[in-house]
Amino acid sequence: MDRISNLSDDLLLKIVSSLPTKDVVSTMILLKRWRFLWTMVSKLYFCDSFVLDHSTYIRFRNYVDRSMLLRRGPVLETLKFDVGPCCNTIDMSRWILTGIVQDVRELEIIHFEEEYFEEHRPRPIRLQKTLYTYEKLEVLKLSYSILLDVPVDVCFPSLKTLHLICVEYKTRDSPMCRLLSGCPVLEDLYLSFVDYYGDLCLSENMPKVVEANVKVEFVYKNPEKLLWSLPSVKRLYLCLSASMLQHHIGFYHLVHLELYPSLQEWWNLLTWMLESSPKLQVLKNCEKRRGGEEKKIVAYILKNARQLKIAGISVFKYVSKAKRSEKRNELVSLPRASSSYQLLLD
Amino acid sequence: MSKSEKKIVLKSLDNEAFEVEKAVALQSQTIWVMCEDKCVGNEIPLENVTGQILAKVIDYCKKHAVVDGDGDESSEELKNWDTEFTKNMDQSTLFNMILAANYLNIKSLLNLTCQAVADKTKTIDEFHTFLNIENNFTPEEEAQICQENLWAFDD
Repeated sequence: MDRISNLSDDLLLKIVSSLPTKDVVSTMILLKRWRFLWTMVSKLYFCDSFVLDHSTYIRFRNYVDRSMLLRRGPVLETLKFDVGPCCNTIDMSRWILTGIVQDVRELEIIHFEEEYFEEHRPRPIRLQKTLYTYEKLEVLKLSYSILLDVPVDVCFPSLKTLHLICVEYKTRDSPMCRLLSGCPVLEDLYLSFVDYYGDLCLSENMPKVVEANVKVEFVYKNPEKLLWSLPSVKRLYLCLSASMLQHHIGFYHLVHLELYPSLQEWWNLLTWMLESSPKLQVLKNCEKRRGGEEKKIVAYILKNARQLKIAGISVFKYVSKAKRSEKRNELVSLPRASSSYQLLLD
Repeated sequence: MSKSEKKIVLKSLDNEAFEVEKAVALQSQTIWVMCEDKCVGNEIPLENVTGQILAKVIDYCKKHAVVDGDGDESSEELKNWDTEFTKNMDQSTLFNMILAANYLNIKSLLNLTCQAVADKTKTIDEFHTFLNIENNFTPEEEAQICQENLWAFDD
């Protein structure tokens, strides 16, 4: 007997929920008992395989239109698009609107435009205004060629997760700042883009954000304000390339910190973060420094960290076993501020 | 609470008995409801799960019981553990894990195993093999369905 016959409709829907919608439809349509079950899916995931040929894209477009039209499940949890240069604002606006009509909770758009043809002019997808005031959205993830055109009345009262990766915005009237201020219950923030206009100087607090991944380049003015606005953050991944050291900010709830210090003052940033984070338990220094410096870092951490529970230090770059164990002994014998934590060496 | 009340015995379909901490077993909503209703004693028969699968489910619950109480700093470690946990499961084990997670109502395990199916079956044919799908249409019927649903099959 085939395995699928053991499955209830709900369980079968659950199993296929992570597959691209096209695979779900073509699987189920060929099964007598489940021919129409695919219309009950709670996740829609469309990928145009990055087609460059317009007629192939048109077929993709028809496909998305039809399957969105036929879906009739009670809740549309997730709507995800992974699209290439042929996709445009008009199509995306229609799909987003269809998603909103079906009460979508989680929207993810990846729009990738590589300059394949010399003559190809990148055309970022412009999100339609209706989306910015859609009150049921809980998760919004936008990546690459997407233009944020944030209206003044932006309001995401339910938005808990916001990930913005290499998105674009053009105006100088602080659209980013406005967007973040319009998310009162935000918990998980991931920012990774070039801030040309120094727009991340937030005026308002985001007291609920507990997880933040901040990777912003070229922050010209007041970059520390972004960190000021995250007083409750528990997990922080930092990669900033401008100095934020004049303003000492306390991260009273921070327990997990990963640093990608690509800046000159990495040492000051590290010591500052350690001093200002009384609850810190996990610290990862993700950049490889040249020889000799790790001992300075480790010595500092061991001497000053009072709440640290685990310090994992990797000495794998030393090829010879003898050298590695020598390094290990050297690190273990350093003076420590807290005797209760584990020192992991590999 | 005495020591014996903290422990619970789970009995598999093939009569294998596992003694586990109550906190570990109660991650299963099904077991939780059984205990709440006091409809079972200290020994719970699980008629849909074999010992081989139940042992794996218990491994998962043990790992998650410990780490969940420990705060959120180990969530990354937990994720890595989850990945390793499903990485080397063969298709039939994975399929039975899904059925077990569904029957025992352990949401996080069900999500994990379903995601593992999607990760392991890169093509639609692999997915059909996983589900052991036998096409129950004649070639004529299939051609007709494809014709009627051109929009869904058109590549």
